[in-house]
Amino acid sequence: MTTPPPPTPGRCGYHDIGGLTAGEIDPAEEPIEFWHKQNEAMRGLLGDPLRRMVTVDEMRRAFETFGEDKYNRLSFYERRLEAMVDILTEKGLIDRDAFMKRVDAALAARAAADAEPPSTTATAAT
Amino acid sequence: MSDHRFAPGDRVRVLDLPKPGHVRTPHYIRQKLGRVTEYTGKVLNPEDLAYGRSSGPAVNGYRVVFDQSHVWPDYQGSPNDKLHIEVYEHWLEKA
Amino acid sequence: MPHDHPHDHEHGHKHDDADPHAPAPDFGDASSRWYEVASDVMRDMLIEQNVIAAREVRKQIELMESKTIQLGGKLIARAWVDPEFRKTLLKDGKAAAAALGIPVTEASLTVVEDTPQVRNVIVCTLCSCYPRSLLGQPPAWYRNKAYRSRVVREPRKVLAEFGSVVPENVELHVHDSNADLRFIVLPMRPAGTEKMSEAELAALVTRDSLIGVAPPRVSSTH
Repeated sequence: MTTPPPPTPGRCGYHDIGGLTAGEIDPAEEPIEFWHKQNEAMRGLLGDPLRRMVTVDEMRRAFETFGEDKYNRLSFYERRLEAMVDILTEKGLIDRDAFMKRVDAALAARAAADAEPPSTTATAAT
Repeated sequence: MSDHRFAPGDRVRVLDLPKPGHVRTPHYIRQKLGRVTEYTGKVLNPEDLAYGRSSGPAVNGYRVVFDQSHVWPDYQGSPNDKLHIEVYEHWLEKA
Repeated sequence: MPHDHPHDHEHGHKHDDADPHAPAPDFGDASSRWYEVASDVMRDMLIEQNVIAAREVRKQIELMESKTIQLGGKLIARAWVDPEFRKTLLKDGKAAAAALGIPVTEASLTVVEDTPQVRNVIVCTLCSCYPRSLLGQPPAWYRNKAYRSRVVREPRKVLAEFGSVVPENVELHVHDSNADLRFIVLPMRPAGTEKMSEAELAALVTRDSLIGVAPPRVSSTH
């Protein structure tokens, strides 16, 4: 369990944006990617009655406190994944550093695979 | 004897509590005057749940309605336009 | 091989309302690709610890994919044709949905009724609360900052931007789902639909009409 931060008068956080001035609403649909669904699925399972490892309230608290810069810079599903990592780390269920290293390694492996030259046995056009 | 303080029809003011951490009372509605329209029942308090405290006591919730022209000094629209939010009992006082 | 840029615009990938000119992040290569890989790594780490099972994740995704506007359409169409069901839906949305075999897992579902005198619109200013167990994921605009900031304060202007002009003599009610209640609008039944079957009526119901920013379709050919 963590301790809440000291109170801020007025605004209860950078997420508390009702009534603030903002620009145009972009009505464009955004496709839901597989990894968005996978994240939401994991969150749902982690928060279920037999686990309660990352509840929706804890996840919200995490993205409301991980910093305004991150909140503004990341997209919706990116924020939620970051929040889940924060809560899981807080509870000792994963280690953030190990997680980051593993993601970097996986990305590097994928980049290496993409960089391999095409097969030299490619057939010539007839 | 009622186990909750407010009833539909009650005029209430939303308090601006200096409560740290995760709260669900938006800044724009604090100090505003409204009217209770419904008692929404008891729930475990998200303000505690957000920190992993999953025990009680539960809190009472209410739907409260506000005149938009009261909430926003520069409101453009019908004087009868309304805003409804849900407020937990400890954020309300009788007005 | 081109170096991965954190905001690879040629990808054509939008980061909804993330700032495209923000400096590079401080925690590694935070492109959407990083997060795509990160999602798989999280899943793998949790599976390795027996916290979740791969099969459970697949089933949960399938369950989520089954939540579509069709479920919302069923509720609304039944309310349009059956006055008793309409009363039940307005009194307790969750119970009414259960009666139609639609499980709603949020704490409650509050249905707010449009009438000739009142129009309703829904928002979650604090995050993105939405009846996901009924309708699935909310649209990007609903969870992005511009809608969340503006619709509580200038709802008529926002609705006009969606193509809905609310007459001056009609009240506009905004519902901020800031706490435990989740909302859908019960739109008015479109005129000229008296001869339609319940299934045809259900097809008129759009996601945007349940959020309240647009009316239902007027015919199934729209």
